[in-house]
Amino acid sequence: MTRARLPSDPCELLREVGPEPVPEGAFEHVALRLQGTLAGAASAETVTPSTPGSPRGLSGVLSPMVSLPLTFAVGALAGLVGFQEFRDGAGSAPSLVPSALVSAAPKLELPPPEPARVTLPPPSVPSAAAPAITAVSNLAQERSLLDRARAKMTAGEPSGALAVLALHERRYPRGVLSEEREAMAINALVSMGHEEEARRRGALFQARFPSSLVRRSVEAALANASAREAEVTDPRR
Amino acid sequence: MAAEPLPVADTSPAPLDASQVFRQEFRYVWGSLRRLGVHDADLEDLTHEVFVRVHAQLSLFDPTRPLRPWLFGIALGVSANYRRLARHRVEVFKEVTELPDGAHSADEQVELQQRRELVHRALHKLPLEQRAVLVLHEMDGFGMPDVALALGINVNTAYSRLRIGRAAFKTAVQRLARSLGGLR
Repeated sequence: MTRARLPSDPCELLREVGPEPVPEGAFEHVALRLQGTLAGAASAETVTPSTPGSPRGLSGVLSPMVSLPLTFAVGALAGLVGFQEFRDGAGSAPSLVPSALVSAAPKLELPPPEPARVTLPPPSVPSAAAPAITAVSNLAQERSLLDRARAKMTAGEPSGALAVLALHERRYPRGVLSEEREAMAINALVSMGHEEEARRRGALFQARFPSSLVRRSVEAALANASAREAEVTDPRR
Repeated sequence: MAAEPLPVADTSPAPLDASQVFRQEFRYVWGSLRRLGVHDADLEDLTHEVFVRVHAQLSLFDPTRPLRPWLFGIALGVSANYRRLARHRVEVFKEVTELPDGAHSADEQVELQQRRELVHRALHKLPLEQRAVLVLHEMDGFGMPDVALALGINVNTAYSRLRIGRAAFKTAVQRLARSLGGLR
């Protein structure tokens, strides 16, 4: 093993090590998974099972997300045509055939093999032959429901929004967009003046999604609820 | 005859395109998850999950802010959830063997690899919230206001975590370097 001196300030190491290496093929594998998702969308709520190498315990949570129908996937895969940019801007021919993007059974033309930069255990690729399992969730449908609820909120109909969100909760209690649903529901409850219920749901939200990026929206709504309650309690304020 | 008013240039940032984000930031998201302690075997799953969330939350992104801290915030949420689910698993970093890249000599590359491994192991000793601040500020080079915004904390808290995290990182590096016997 080479012996090298550490910098006098070990924190300099953080700035020295540069970007993380990405294993050969990783980008394509994730893209393929999204493409599998897209194909799965056409076959009514089917997803590709989590990869065989996936850790036990994680797959149960991730598998619903692994191959959800994504409008995003369409765009992402369209973007893949130019993914040579990602691969050090080699500027060679596109590696994916555009027609594959709309094929029900997409066939990819991958780029010719290049010397691998990193040796890692080969990432598993969901194959077209992999048995499909019933989806627990469907992102496109989840998203559609949340869009409807958001439209109701924008139109000043929080009760209508709440009804749509309740439908989402019944259909997708552990959906991918549960976090966004709960945040919107809390906002709707506050708008309707149901502060107590909003706070109860807010506490559950904080416990369930402590690192949520939409947490601030929830906190702001709850702060409004508290301010409104204070006004009711002390009308001189 | 009055001259036609010239069209006013739209200087507002263009809305983000999910496919472009995926293409351009795949490597960043992958690397961030790795630095946040996600196992190599799980990186594909979690990178996919991050981009699912990116899509779902893209409308919430403020395009006047830098994109990467926002992506990092999503990656942090995903990795925090992952750690809760995977807490029973032994966390072991494998040494990633990099083949020659042409830019470094073989010796330099071995040394870089050792340093990177040391950084990962030392970061792994830190609580996730300190690690997140160190990665965003020290490794990615973002200013503390952006770091605080990305992590949903106030700037004073971010500075406090940075200070404590730096001290903990130094201690971890020194201990690991002694025990590994390579770098010193």
